[in-house]
Amino acid sequence: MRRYLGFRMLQMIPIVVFASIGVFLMIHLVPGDPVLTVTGLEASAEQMERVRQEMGFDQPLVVQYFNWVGQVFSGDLGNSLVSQKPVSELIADRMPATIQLTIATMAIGLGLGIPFGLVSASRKGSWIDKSLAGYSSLSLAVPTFVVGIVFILVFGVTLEWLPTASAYIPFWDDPGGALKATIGPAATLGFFVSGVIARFVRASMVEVLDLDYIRTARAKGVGEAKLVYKHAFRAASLPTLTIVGIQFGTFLGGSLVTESVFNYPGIGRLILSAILNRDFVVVQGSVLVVVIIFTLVNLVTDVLYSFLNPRIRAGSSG
Amino acid sequence: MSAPDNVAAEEISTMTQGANRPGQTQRFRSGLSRFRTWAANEKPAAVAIGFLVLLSAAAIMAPIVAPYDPLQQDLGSILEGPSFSHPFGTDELGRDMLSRVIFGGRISLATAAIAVAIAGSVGGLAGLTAGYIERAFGALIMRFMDFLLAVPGILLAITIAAVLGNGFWPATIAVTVISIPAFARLARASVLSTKQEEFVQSTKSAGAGHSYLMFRTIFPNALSPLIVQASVAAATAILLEAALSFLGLGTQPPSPSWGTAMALGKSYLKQSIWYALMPGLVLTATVLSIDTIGRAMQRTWGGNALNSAAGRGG
Repeated sequence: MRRYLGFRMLQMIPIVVFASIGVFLMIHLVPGDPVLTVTGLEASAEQMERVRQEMGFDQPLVVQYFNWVGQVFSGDLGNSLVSQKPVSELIADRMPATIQLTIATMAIGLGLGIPFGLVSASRKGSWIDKSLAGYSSLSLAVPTFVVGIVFILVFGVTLEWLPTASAYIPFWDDPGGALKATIGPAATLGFFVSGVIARFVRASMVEVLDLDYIRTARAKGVGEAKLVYKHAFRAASLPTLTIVGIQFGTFLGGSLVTESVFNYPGIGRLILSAILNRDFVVVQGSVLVVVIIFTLVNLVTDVLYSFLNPRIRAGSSG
Repeated sequence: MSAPDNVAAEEISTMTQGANRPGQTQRFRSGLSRFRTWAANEKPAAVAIGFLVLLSAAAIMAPIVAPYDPLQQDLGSILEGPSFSHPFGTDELGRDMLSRVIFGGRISLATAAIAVAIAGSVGGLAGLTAGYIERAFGALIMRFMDFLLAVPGILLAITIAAVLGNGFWPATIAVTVISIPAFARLARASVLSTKQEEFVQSTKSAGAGHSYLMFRTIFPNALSPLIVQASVAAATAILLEAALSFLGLGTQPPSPSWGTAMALGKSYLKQSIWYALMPGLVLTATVLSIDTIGRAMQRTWGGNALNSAAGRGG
């Protein structure tokens, strides 16, 4: 177990190194001079030269990279070219909003997806199974911005139950307000996630329900409900864990499209507005943080998977 | 030597199950009648194919089919709902939405076609090579693919589009790059399992060289999972292109891309719901059709392309 853990952590390193080189080079690959973003277009040559030196853009690329990595390790992701605020502060400001949205999204996704998958698998081939399969297909095919717009149209514009633009209200401060402000983007993303999860749960349940031990249990007279929800689901939940982990990691990195449909102030909006403003220091820092979060969540998922899977657990402890 | 036929023949012979290997024209005819039987069993897929054929035809012949010039403004009739003269309504400049959606289909379908063709050949070839040469070279290729998969898809696409600038080509390149790793992984896995097959082993012991083994024996037999993947990749490409355009990073106005139309339409929801809704409905129908066909092909030929569809949300 410990060896596996060590191995998986080592695997993370090249990904993070690749990503850091990628985001570092980005600022130099972008057409146009990043110095101009700071100084504005009317800057004199001397002004530009001074800023260039201040920002270290005059040094060789390799030196710049290692300087930057050194800074990142000490927690300094640089300052925004636009607002001059530290990037780490900007990210820390947006993170709670994204975390709250992710939790709400996963709650909706799991709350709908797992029962849907279980029901489909236990009634394989029935009309319920077929309509739930249609639901999954639809949720994977409708772009989140279409769902979001329809949501705003129905609940914001027509019924006027919810605001057309959401804000971040911390759940502990005002649970009701938080719910109202988060439900739009969370339902939009949750619809998508529930389809993915339903399909996975169904696929692995169908596989498990075909296994010998289930047949034995059924022959022994174990009730169908207990069979499905206890015996089979325990075995089928493992593969589902991986996909839940991937979704969780993705949304923790901010949902660019959904956050911008609802004007929800999370990490995704931060990255998007930085891109549109050509504020590449912010893009650099936040993309790096998002990649690290995503890889970490995947790592935790993998470790959890191997911990919960008796086959791997037994194999590696011996 | 039991040299295998090409993929098409293999597919047909698996479909006809045990039928004698037919001649060239006969094979085609039996393929056509097989397709008819297949379509009868997979009715939703048949409907989806019909829709896509219609959409593609309309997009290709857009200047002939579209009732108006997609850029022609008519300030006398702005933000109208569907009517006889404007079936999809009009936008804030009085432009005909049906014509804009038809012309927008060109952008979506072109992005999907380019992304699938390039990502399929680059990723497919990389994966096939990595599967054939398992040592350092293959490992290196796959590590790079792992890296591409380790970054959330939409984020990677947006970052690439940000570096390359806005427009059709940057968006298409971004979508292509993120479609590559799924093809590479599938191709590699497929080659690894095909390599173990008896006919490959016997071709090898009969003295076939590397290039014969790779390109004549293994590759053709390892291709069918990639065909299913192509459908998933096409649907994802259309979604991502629309998302990039929606965010303002893809094709720029006044070009009538579906994503751009929806982003603009979103600001006029209170005046006209149709403006944002119509491109969204066509977009959804397109992606749903491609997915439906993909799943039908999967049922027929096997293969698993589910994972890459899971990366679409965001």
